[in-house]
Amino acid sequence: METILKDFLNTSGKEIIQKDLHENFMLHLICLYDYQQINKDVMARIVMKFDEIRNKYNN
Amino acid sequence: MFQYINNFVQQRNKSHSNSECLICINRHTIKCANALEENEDKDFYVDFLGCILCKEEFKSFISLFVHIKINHEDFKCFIAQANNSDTRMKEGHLIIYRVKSHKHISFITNDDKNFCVVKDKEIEIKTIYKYLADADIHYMQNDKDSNSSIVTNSISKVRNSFASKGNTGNNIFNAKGLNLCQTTKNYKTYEDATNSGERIFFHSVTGEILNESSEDSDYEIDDEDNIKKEEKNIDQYTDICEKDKEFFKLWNRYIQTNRYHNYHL
Repeated sequence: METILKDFLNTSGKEIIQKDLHENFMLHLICLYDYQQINKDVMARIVMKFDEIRNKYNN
Repeated sequence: MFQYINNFVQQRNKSHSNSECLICINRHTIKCANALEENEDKDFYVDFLGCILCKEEFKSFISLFVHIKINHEDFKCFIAQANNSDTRMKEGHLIIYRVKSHKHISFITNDDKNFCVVKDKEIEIKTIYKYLADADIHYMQNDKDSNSSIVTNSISKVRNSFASKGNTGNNIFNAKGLNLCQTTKNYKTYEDATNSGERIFFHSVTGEILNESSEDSDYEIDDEDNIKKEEKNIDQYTDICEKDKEFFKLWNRYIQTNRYHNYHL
């Protein structure tokens, strides 16, 4: 699941930021966490990766 | 038999060091008189018609031709049309030669029964041609040796002809042969397909020419069509905001295009 999310960020991260869908992405991560598809370590890594992508496109 | 072939190969190597390997096998080189007498009435007698490479037995002469054509692409099999003093080749001999390399020693064994045996006197070239014509197999003159013929035809045509022949062709397309055939790539070329006048079908993704044995590409689903349908369904929701819809579409498109939808998420 972690690789899927990372791949999703690599392919669609730009679109998420452009369309201002980062809140939806966070809600999606929380939903996956609630359903025990990812643990909190994975969640933290994905959020950090998302921040990297957001900083990259914002700059 | 073994000695005969050894002598022949040595002679062959002396005279043509870089030429192709030829093996001539006829009735007189093998002592099996009892078996010959039982089948005198037949047009041609075959004691043990088997492939010398994979040691598989065949019932008919044509099936051996097709077997070599399909499974051993490096080899060519033909029947001598006239006597040749240089190669000890006589009319009616079965000749198998390797096209590319000269590793003929690898398939010479001490066991005489592993070799193809063809009766040389009673056999007539016309009868062989008759069998070939019945099976709808075309043959052409060999460029290198004008005294010989090579059976050449597209695999699909041969397969169709044998499929209608019933027992004659069953030997070729057994489980072992079929597997070998399927693992052989590009055995039907574009030229074969165009010359035979068949309609050519290409694989939608890889672009390869499809044969009769090729897997049907119907299992391939048009993802784009499905994605658009699902996006229309998402748009029909009234209790979800536009951003949520956009994210749903984005996620669904990613999952479907990357084939992750087969897994439980």
